[in-house]
Amino acid sequence: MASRRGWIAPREPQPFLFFVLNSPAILLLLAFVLYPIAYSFILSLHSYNLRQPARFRFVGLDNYATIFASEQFWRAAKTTALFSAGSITLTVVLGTLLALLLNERFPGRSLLRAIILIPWAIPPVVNGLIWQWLLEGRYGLVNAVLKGAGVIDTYHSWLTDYNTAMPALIVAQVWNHIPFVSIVVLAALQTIPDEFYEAAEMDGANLFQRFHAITLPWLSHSLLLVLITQTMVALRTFDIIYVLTGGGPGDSTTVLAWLTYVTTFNFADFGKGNAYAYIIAITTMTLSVVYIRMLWRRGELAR
Amino acid sequence: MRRRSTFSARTALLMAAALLFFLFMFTPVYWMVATSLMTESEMLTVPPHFYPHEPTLRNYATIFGLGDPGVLAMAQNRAPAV
Repeated sequence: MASRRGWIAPREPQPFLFFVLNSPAILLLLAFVLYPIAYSFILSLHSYNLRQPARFRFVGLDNYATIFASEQFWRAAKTTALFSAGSITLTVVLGTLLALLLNERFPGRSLLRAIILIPWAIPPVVNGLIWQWLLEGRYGLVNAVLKGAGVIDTYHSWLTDYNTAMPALIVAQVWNHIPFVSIVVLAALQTIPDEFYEAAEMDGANLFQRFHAITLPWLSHSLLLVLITQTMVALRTFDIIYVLTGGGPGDSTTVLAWLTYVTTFNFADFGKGNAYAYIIAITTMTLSVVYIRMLWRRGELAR
Repeated sequence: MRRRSTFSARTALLMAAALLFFLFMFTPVYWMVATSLMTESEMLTVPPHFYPHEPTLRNYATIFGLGDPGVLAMAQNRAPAV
């Protein structure tokens, strides 16, 4: 640790040089990340409806107050919670199962590994179009297969039925996002040393015990990452709703992101729309912090 | 011999699970490609054909502007998607 004779003394703080060297990145972040966020927040504090552009004025937190007082918001919040809980749970559970499967040896494994990547390459809007065509009431494949197998007696219009529109959306979302979860979890699985399992087997641990004591703690950081990204994705899902149901039938699939879109672009109410957007962002951030608190520590303890 | 039989039962189980995942993950993609190779009238048959009986690349030709002008004009006038 002898002091080095360089042209920068390593221990000497260089706050000015730090900012100069990082200025390109800092400027870009300011212009393209911080400025829109701040501008959106400022708009959310104003009464700003494009139908009455002259009445642009500061109203403080009135937009938020109106939103929280409206029944529409709470119904959308409930729908969002339902959609998120369903899609996150299914995506993470199925994705992890698929990763565990792909970590085993069996004939056809490499083929399956290649094929499960396809949904990941499909953009959400195309994903919506695929499922729209699959679930179509008259010509859809799902109806034909289910009727052929004797599960349903008559063709069912999945996307226009109040009760099946949400499950259909969840299936489409899960299909699109399973690959991401599987890849992340599979990567983590492949770093687990075999010795752990051998030692556990010596000690007489059964399959479930091995999973609980070795695999799960080892995966906790990957699962944390997957949970956070999936929560963010689920809370702001908009594109497949736009394509598949348009928030309907009734308000059965009107999630907060859809309400944000409708408020901003159909009702041209930019103030309230930005307030909605902020509510989504703050909810996502809060949930992420909760996850990190929960899972990070558990992962550290397990090591 | 016992060891070997449990091994193959395990493999069979894994492959069954793999088949389920394969069907779920691959069917939508297959259906997208199969439909793209059908003519519009075949696409709208009830019950649907599980594979294109008379595969055609005409849809792709239309996209690239190579189709017959009448079809092309129709395609351009049509509302996107749906």
